[in-house]
This record gives sequence, C-alpha cells and structure tokens, in this order.
Amino acid sequence: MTRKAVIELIKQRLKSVDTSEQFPFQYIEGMCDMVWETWCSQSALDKNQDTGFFSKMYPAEAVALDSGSGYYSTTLPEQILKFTNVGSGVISVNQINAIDNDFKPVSERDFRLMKGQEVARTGSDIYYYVNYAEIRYNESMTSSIAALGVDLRLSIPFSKYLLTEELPMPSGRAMEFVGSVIELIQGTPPVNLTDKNSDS
Amino acid sequence: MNTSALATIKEIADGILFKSGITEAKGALIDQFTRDGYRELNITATNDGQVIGLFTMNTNLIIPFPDDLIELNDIFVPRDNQVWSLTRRTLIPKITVVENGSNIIPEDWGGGDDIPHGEGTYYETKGGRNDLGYYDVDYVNRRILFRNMDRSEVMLDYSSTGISKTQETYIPIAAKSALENYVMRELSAFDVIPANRYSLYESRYQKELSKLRMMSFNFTAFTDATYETICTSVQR
Repeated sequence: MTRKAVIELIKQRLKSVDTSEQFPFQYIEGMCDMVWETWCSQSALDKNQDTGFFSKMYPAEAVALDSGSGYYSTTLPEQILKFTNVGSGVISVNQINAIDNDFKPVSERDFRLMKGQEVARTGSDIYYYVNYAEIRYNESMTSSIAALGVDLRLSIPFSKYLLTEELPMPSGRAMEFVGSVIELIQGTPPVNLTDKNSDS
Repeated sequence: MNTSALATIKEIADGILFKSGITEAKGALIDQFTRDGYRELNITATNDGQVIGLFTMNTNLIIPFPDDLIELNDIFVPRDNQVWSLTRRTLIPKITVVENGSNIIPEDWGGGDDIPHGEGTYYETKGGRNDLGYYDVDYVNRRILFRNMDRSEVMLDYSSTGISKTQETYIPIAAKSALENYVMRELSAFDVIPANRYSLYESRYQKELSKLRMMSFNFTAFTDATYETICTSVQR
C-alpha cells in the first residue's frame, strides 16, 4: 500500500467516529509516524528480519572528503529514525552494485578507540559511525570507492515516503498497522472542535 | 596463487558473525580478535608467520629488525650453492654512538673491525668458529650486529606476526576452527557474550590447538633433519 492509501483508509475507518472530520490528513500522518517508528525499531532489533522491510534504498550517494578531519563522509539524504543500536537508522552501506560485508557499523566511541588498533590499520573493511546527519568512514575508505559513491539502506519516518510510494511493509500487515493507528487516535479527544482540529 | 586451502581474515571474521548471529555492531571487535588469535597461533602453534628474506646491513654492519619481527630464528649466507648458518657471538659490543650527526661504532669498542677467532685448523674446546661471519642480536634496540663478514647481504629467517600491513593476509583453513574458538573465548572474556561460556570455548580452543600442532608435526621432516646433522666422524 502507498502512504496515501494508508492514510485515506484510516480516514475512512474513522468516519464513523469523526463525523465532523476532526482528524485531518496531517494529524493521521503524525499518528502513522509514531506507529511506524515503533514497528521499525522492533524490526531493527530482530536480526532474523529481512532488511528490505521498513527501510528504503538510496543508491549512489556521494562520499566526500572532509579536508579538516581527513575523513570521508556521506551526508544523509533523508532524516533517519534514531535507533539505540549501533548504526541507528542506517541499515546498511554497500559499494555501488555490490553486496558484501565490507562496511561495518561501530559506535562513535569505538571509532575513536579503534584508531590505534591493528584492525583499523590492516585489512580492507570500512568501519563507519552515524551521527544522524552524516555517516563518517574510517581510514580504510579509499578515493576510488569514494569516487563511485555508496548505496545506502535507511530506515526513515513514515511521513518521508512519497505519497505514491509503496510502503516497505510485509504483506498481510497493513490492516494490523491501520488498526494500531486507529487505536492510538480513538483515545485522543479532538482539541479544536470549532475549526475541525485544523493544524493552522 | 591457488588459495583454496587458505582463507582471508575477513572470511573467517565474517564467518564467525554469520554462524554466531552476533550483531554486526560487534564486527570490528571480531575482526580485531581474529587478528589477535592468528598472531597467537603463529607464535605458539604454527609457522605461518615465518619469513625468509634478504637484508643488507648498513656501514656499521647493522641490520635493524624488520617491523614484523617477533623472534629471530637464524641468519644465513651462501656457501657452495647452499645456505650456511652464521654463529652468534655474544661478545660483539652492542654499542653505537652519534658523532658529527652520524651513527658510528666507537673505535675504542672495536670500530666494527673483525673479532679474533684464531687461525688455521685445530681442535678447540670452544666451538662455533665460523669463517663466514658472526652476529649478535640487540633486542632492546631491535637490531642485529655483524662482524667478520665478507658480504653485506644476508638471509634472515625470523618469525613474524603473520599479519601484513600492505597485502592480504591468508590464513590456513586448518587454523580456522582454532581461530573461531579463540574469538568466541575472547568475546566471552570481554563480556560481549555471556562470561559463563569462557570455559566452554577455552576447552574447545585447546582441543583445536592440539589438533593443529599435531598436523604441524611432520615425522618425515623430523627424520630428514636428524639425518642432516648425523656425521660418521667426530670431525665436522
């Protein structure tokens, strides 16, 4: 289902209790954001989960050298969900048109501590940490890899998907999602009865 | 090079991640433990870290240790189309001083001249006379000092870390099980996985180490080495 279809379905389901249309599109979208965030964080902790769900691919993102620090980095193309596990909302990083395990996430603390370790000085694996605005790579990143860019898979908020974009949700769970959102909304009394709960 | 009997550090480390299901966030730690484990195996169980290479001494008759040298095994020069092992002489002065901006051997400490070892062929109570040269090892300053040499290039045989900084490091597949158990043991020691699994992985590691050592011992090579040194005469 697309983002728009989900929201419209919820609006339809709410009509019976929202006869004066007091739950606008943005309000429902905000509730969808909350439920989506919960589902994504649960998915991120489940190592048996297919990483294709609850995430979006951003191909060929640029890698640039920060001349001040000497490290390569990628500015995140979209806001990501902030999970507590290492790597946060960055699900995976890969070289262009390649799927390998040569990019490995570390915490910022480990990134600093690894600097003097053998693992950072030998081998070809590229270690990175995420600071919510960018991905920073260690010394193993080369100019030739950076020139091509990287493929990112990110977990992003519900509202950041295009209206016409299919949500990366497992089949058969759309109704469960809709039910969770409605359950969240139904307990919320409208605050602005005179103006149909408008955001403005 | 046919690498079917070899694996890279990455293959082994990723294999541990794959089999154990440990989160990728610990991937860097597992990579480091794999390197630590391979270095330990090289020192204690295998000779995969053995390096044999040509090195040239400087004008002070000194060769600095290669960066990856852990233990020097032997030093050779060529003789009669074979290698000839030099003799260690602990009486070589391990002294160099800086004079006029250059590192030199002081004249009152021999100045690098040949050390006496007698003339002619005779029987000695002290052995190790070597017409082709002597050396001593200065582990503190990480260098090898030579005397009585008629050439500047020698062959060093030494044990290294086994881990290259510039090229891919290949690990024998035979060492894979021992390495995997070493890494899991260390993960337990550092509380990445439950500490109560330490004993389990330690005993598995020791078992794999014993197997590895057994595989490393070649009886034919042992008997060949024995025959090489046996002489029919007391005079060598």
